[in-house]
Amino acid sequence: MLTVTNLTKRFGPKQGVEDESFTIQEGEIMGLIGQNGAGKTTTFRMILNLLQPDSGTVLWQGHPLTKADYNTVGFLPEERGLYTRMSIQDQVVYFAALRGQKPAVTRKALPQWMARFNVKGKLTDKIKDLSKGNQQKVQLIATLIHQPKLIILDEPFSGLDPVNAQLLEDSIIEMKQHGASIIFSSHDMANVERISDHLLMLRNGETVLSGTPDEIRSQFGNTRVRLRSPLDHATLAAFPGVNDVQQRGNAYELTLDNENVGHDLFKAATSQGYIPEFSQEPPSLDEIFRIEVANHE
Amino acid sequence: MNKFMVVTRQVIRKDIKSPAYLFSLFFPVLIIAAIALFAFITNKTNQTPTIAITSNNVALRNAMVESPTHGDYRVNKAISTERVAEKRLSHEKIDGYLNVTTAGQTVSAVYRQRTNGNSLDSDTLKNNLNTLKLRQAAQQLGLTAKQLQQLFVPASYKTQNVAYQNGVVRRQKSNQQGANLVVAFVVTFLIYMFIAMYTSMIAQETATEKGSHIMEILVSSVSPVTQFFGKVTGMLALIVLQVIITGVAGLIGMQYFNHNISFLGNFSFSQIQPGMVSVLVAYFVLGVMLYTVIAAMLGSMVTRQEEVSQALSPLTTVGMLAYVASFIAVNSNSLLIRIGSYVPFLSQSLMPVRYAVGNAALSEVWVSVAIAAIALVLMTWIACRVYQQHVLDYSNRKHWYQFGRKRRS
Repeated sequence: MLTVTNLTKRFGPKQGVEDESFTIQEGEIMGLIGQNGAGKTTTFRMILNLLQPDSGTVLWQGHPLTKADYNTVGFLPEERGLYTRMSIQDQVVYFAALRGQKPAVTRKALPQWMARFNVKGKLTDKIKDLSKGNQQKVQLIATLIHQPKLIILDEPFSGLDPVNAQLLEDSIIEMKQHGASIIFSSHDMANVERISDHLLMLRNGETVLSGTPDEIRSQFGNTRVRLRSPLDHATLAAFPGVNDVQQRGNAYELTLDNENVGHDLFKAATSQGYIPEFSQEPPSLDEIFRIEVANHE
Repeated sequence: MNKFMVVTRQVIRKDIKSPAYLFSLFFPVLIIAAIALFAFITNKTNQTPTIAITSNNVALRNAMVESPTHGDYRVNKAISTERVAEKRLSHEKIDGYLNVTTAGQTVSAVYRQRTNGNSLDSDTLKNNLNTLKLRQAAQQLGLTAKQLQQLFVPASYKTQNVAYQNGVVRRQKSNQQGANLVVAFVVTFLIYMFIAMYTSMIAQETATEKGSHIMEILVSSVSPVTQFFGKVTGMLALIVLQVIITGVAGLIGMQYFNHNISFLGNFSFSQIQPGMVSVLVAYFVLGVMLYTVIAAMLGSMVTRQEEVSQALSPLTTVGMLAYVASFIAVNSNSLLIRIGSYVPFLSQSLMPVRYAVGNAALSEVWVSVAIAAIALVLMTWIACRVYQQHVLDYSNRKHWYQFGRKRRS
C-alpha cells in the first residue's frame, strides 16, 4: 500500500504540489490527471525519492521508500530514455538487473513480453533501428518485466495507437490482478475512466478532485442529456431549465440547470410515445476536466 | 550480482564494443604493425649494391677488392677496366664503379653510380681506401705495422651525465638518461591521450543518460553513489586494460625494432632507471583517474549532451597545459616546474620527466604520487556528492552558481 500524506513541494515562487494526499491499496489503480505543469511528474518524483518534499510523507508498506524497495518499483518516466545503441535484449536485461532480476530470468521472459506487446523486431535489434512506437513498447517492457509491486507510469499512453493502448490497458489490469499498486498519469480521459479505481485531479499543484470516476462525475449531477425525439432545436432551446443545445447528427445534446429538469424533458419528448434515444448522465471526465480548468481561469 | 557490479559490467560491456574505444585500444598495435610493414618493405627494396673497382694501380685494385665490405656492397671482381665498367653500368648490370687513380703520392678516387640503382653507403669504401693509402705511405716511410697502429690509437673520450641532489652527486649510466627520457615522453603523451579520451567518454555517457532521462530510471533503481562508483570502476577497468595492451605492444615493438631502427639500436630496457616503470604506472592510473572522476562530475552537471565539450574544456585545457609544460621540464628545473610536479592534475605530466632527466629523486616522486592519490580520494568524494545532487537537476543555470546553491541547501 502506498500512502501519500500532505505532500508539499515548492520551486521558488512556483507552486509544485500543495498538500497532496492519497492512498493506493494493493491491486488498485490510481489515475492522476491535470494539465501540463499541474504537478503530476513532481508527485511521481517525490514518491520515488528523486525529489525531496518540503513537507509531508510518502510511505510504502508503512515505511519510507528506501534502497531496499527499489527492486519492487517499476517506473516509466515521462520522457522516455533508452540506450539507443544497445540491443533490445541487452537493454531490458540491464534495466531488469538494476531492479535485481537475474539476466537469465529476464532473457527467458522477454520473448513472451515481446509477443504480448507485439513488438516488431528481433531481440538483437538495436534500439535506434526501432520505430518510436516500438521503442516505447520496449521501455514499457523494461518497466514491467521484473513484476514490480509499485508501478508508476508517467503518461504511458502517449504515442500509442488505440490497438497498442488497449494492449497496455490489458497489461496494467493484469499487473493489478497480481496485486500491484499502480499510479499513472494521462491526458486521455477515456483510458483513465476505463481502468482507474481512483482518480486524482491536480490543478497548479492543488488537488481539485479526488474519488472514483463515478463519484467524481456524480458530484456534477445528471445534467447532461442526449436526445433523439420529435422535439426540434427551437423547442429544446426554449425549454425551461435547458441552458445549452448542441446538434450532433440527428441527436441533440443538452445541458440542464439541474437534474430534475430531465423529468419534464422526458415527459415532453415522449408525449407522442416511442423515442429512439434519451440518456441522462453526469458530464464526462473530459468535460469535467475542462470545467475545472475553466473555473480556475 | 549486486548493483554496483551490474553498473560496472554495463560500462565495460558497452564501451568495449564502441568503435572509438576499440580503435584506441588497438592503435599502438596498428602503429607497430605499420612500422613493421614499412621496415619490411624498405629492407626488401633496398638491396646491397653491386659495384666494380678499377684502377691504374693493379696492386691497389686487388687490395681494394679483397678489403672487407661489412655487407655494404658487393664487388663484381670480373670487371677490371673502366671501359667495361662503364659499359656494364650503362646496361644496369652494376649499380656503380669506383675508379682509383694513383699518381706519385696522391691517390684520387671517383665513384660513379646510377641514380636509379641501389645507393651505396660509402663510408666502408672510403675507409678501405684510406687504410690502403696509409699502409702504402707507412711502407714508404719504413714504419712497422705496430708503429702504424700506435700512431692511430685515438684519444680516449667519454661523456658523464651528473645531477646534483642537495649538493650530492647522483651518477647515471651514460645511456640511462636518454632511455628514461624517451620512456617518460612516450608515457606522458599516452597519459595525455588517455585523459582526453576517458574524460570525454565518461562525461558523454553521463550527459547522455541525463539528457535522455535514462537517469530517472537509473536513480530510481540504484543509488547515485553506487552508480557513480560503478561507472568509475568500469572506467578504471578499461584504463587498466588499455595500459596493459599498450605496454605489451610497446615492449614487443621495441624488442622487434631494436635491430631495424638505428634510433632504438642503443636502447635497452636495462638502461631504464630502477623504479621508473612503477612510477609511470602509478601516474598513469592516478592521473587518468583524477581526470575521469572530475569528468563524470562535469557530465552530471550539464543539461544536454551538446554542452559536454563546453563543460569539459577547462579540464582538458589543464591537461594540455601540463602536457606542454612537460617539454619545458626537460631543460628547466624552475620553481614553477618544481611546484607543478607536486600539484595533482599537473604532476602526472611533469614529475615523470623531471625524474627521467635526474631533476627529482625517487623519494620526491613518491611524495608527489602520494599527493595525487590523496587528491584522487578527495576529488572522488566531491565528484560523487556533486553527481548525486545534479543527475536529476535540469535547471539551466550556470554551473558555478548551481554548485554554490546546492552546497548551501
